[in-house]
Amino acid sequence: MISLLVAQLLNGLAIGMIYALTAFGLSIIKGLLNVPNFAHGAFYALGAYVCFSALQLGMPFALALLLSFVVPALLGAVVEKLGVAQLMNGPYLYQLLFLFGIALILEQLIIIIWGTVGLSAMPPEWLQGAFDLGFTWIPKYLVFNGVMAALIIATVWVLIERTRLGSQIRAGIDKREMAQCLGLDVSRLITAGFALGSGLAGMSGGLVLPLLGANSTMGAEMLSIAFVVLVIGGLGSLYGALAAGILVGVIQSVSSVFVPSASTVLIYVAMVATLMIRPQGLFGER
Amino acid sequence: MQRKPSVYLMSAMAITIAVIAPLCLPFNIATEILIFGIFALATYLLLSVAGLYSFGQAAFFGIGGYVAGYVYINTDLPLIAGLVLAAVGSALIAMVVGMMSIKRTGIYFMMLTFAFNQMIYYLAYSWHSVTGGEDGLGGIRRPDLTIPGLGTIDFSSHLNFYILTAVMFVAIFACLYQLIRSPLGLVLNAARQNPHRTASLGFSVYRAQLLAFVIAGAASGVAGALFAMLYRIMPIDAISWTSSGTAVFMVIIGGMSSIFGPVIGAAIFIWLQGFFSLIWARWPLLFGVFIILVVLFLKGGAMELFDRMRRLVEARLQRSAR
Amino acid sequence: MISGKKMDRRTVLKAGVAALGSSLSGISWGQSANNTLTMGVISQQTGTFAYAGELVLKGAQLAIEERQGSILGNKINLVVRDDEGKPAVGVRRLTETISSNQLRYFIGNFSSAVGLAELEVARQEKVLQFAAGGSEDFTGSRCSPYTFQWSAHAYTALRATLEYVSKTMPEKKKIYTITADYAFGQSLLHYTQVAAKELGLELVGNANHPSGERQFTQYITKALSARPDIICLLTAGADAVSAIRQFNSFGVKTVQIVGPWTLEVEQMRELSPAMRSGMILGLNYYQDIDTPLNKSFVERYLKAHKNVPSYAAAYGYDSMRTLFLAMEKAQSVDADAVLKTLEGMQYNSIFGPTRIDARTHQVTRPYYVVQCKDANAMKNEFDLASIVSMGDKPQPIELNECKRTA
Repeated sequence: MISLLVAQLLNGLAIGMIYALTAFGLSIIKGLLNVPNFAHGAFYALGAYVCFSALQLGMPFALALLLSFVVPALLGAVVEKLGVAQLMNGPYLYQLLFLFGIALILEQLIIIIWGTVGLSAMPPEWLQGAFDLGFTWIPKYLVFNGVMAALIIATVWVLIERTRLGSQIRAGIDKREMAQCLGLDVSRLITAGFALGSGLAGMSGGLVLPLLGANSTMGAEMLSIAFVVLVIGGLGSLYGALAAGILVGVIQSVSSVFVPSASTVLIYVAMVATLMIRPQGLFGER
Repeated sequence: MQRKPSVYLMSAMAITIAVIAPLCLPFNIATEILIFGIFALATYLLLSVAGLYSFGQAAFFGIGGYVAGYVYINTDLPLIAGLVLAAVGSALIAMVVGMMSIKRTGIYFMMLTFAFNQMIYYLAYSWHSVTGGEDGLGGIRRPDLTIPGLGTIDFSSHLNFYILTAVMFVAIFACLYQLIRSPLGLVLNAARQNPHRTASLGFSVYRAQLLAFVIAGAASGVAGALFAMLYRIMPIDAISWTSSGTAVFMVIIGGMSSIFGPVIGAAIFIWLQGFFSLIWARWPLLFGVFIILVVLFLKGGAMELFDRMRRLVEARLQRSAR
Repeated sequence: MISGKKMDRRTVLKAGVAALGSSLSGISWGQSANNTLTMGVISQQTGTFAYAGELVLKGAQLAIEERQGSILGNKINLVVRDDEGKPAVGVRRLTETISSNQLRYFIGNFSSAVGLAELEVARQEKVLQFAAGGSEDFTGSRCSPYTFQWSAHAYTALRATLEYVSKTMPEKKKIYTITADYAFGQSLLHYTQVAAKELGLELVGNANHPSGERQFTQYITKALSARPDIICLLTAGADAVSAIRQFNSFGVKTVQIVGPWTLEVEQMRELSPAMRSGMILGLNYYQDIDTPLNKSFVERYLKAHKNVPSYAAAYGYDSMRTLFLAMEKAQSVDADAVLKTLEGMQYNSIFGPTRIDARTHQVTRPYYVVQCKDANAMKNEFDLASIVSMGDKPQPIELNECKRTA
């Protein structure tokens, strides 16, 4: 039993890192726009499909991953400029619905371009197989996922905390009007932030491709979980999503040992509990 | 003070729609439009009148459907009993959800309704024995209705079932319209525009909103029960959050400014779904484009379109009259 | 602001335009002419088995071609609808085509849930359904005079597959099952338990997974901790592909993967040869089946579509063909007459001599066990596996829950 628990813990940690990475992107966008991005799941899916095509064309894995960041990021910038920016000043319901519409369109476009059948890709040679830990096996690629997600998050952290652009983005999030007064082009920052967030979603999709494959419903599924992570981490906190992502991954994996059918309900119970007891989440400030 | 049309006039309009619809559409489509019309009306009450952006109405639609379905499959209770139980069941759950959610505002409220919807979805999903889980609750019958003096009505006929739905539609339409004109509706409207002011005037915003939430839940439950009887199956995706999103779209597409908005929105959506899905499997893309166009250029939805057209026609008439 | 009178006109205009707008689409719901027989393929074009709809249609078209597009003087009008893999959508489409097109016969469901929902409609509206899909309820607790089951019974499938395994790998006795959490999966699980008991195999555990599951790593971890010899995948479609792909990433060579009703040829191709090599699969159909009817079917299909037929296409072809045979025998296209003829009918199908059980409406036919080949053993791109065994043991009568009398 202990060994099964530890095995599921490790599994949950690795999956949780992916949740954290996706939710991190969502968190950045939420911080800038103050609207939950309903298209986030679609960008995640797009990243996976782009990665697949890149690998089909023979590109090395690293390049395919990079593309799975770049393409959704560019598309995110376009979407932001074309629609979100127009609706900035109205009630947020319209921005929300706009993004929902984008999600619908993107998901159908994905089916039109890549078809309805699920797609698989193999991880690179050196990442195939598993580590035999004695009491359980853990696939090498799963470990790579976790490590890579952590690295990417760390890189973005450096970008946000230690560079000029990053500090501008933070200013845009915390005190938009003040930032405008100081002469910052906030609208450009928002576009940049949206692109960054979407790119991160795409990249987690690409990372996950060899493990989970690519299929037409992956976007909606990830979106749901990303919202939970966002809320538990804190709607106002930028980094809360990281801890929350790991937490959600672990809850899912470990609870599947004891109460498999309830493991997903538990996540939403946690979400409701957070909203009721501590709406600012684990790390947000009121 | 504006003079708004009387309930009787509006009800007459609703009856007209209900009568015209089956003359140009197959019965099943018309029935489905009215059912989703009821669902959209309930969502309209929350969205446009109360300003509560609930993204979880499908939970109550689904509960109504499952309760009615379960009753009709496993008991011999009559038609009316099933509908009443569906409404009561959804209303009760709506009360619980509302009590917890309305305490929060804005995005937190929305996320709470979303989370509750998901919870209820996954509960329905795993509670196989009652809901059929992923396969849905199948084999729902349509009980006969015995009206003393009129005899027994058999609802396996498409026409009879349509009439039942139409009656429920007009009744709920009239009730909701009356509610919106009543003091409760005025308080909700005021609270939507300025909750603090309204509260400081002595009105209990919380109680008004909770009442609206419960009523919307009950109406959604009735719609769900009718849906379950229409298809003789209650599918699991009717209770999912994407279905909640669809309800919100119907209100937006139709127009948030008038009570006819949600009805038109429901008609447009069912029409899109029914018509386009026959010719293109990727029809949700058109739906997405539709939403974006409405949100960017026609925020008032179909109602705004009619308004603009009417003004155009009037302007042209005025010019030609000169 | 606005007087009561203007509100009248405005609201009338709005209501009228709404109704008119919908009526324009009324034209799209058409009627069909006399002396035509409307038959339908209602199948998935989106969702887990999205590839299936197209293939069932191709098979059905081949059967219709054989008859030059008409039967007993009636022109065959083939109507195609997408059920999206969702019961409500399937029911909706079916109801529409029955009332708008006078549909009388239909095939196509790949999801048992959809098929079972359509079963109720077929029963109500008295149209004939030739179903596929793994749930035993079609010929069991939900059996109906208007529904026939083309696919093998879950018992036959499990018995054939596990019998092969126990014969060729006698030292492997412990089975862990990973099961899809809906009608189909639970049906398979039930008969795995029955067949395992009959064959002296031991079930060491089960994990249920929700449909559309992407992450199987936690179930595989759980399975491996029970130290089984065999992992039995009681799931299908995209879910099965994910499970196998992820199992492969664990690199565990000592555990045999068995999929008694798990992958079709299309999905086998989604996996690389390395991922599927050595897997033992149970199939309702494989292109190498050695009967004259099947050989000619495969040849015609290859010529028309440059690809070998799989389960979906064979189902489309053979079910349609059987319906036409019954119509010929009954000398009528009336659903009630045809269904009486189908009951107990003995005929030649792509499986060879076949008959239909008069009471349960189950088609009694063999089930095939194949083993997936290594990349270097494949003679061509279609040669994914070889048939190693077949079995046709029907479900024991005492386990059948159909309440009809013959």
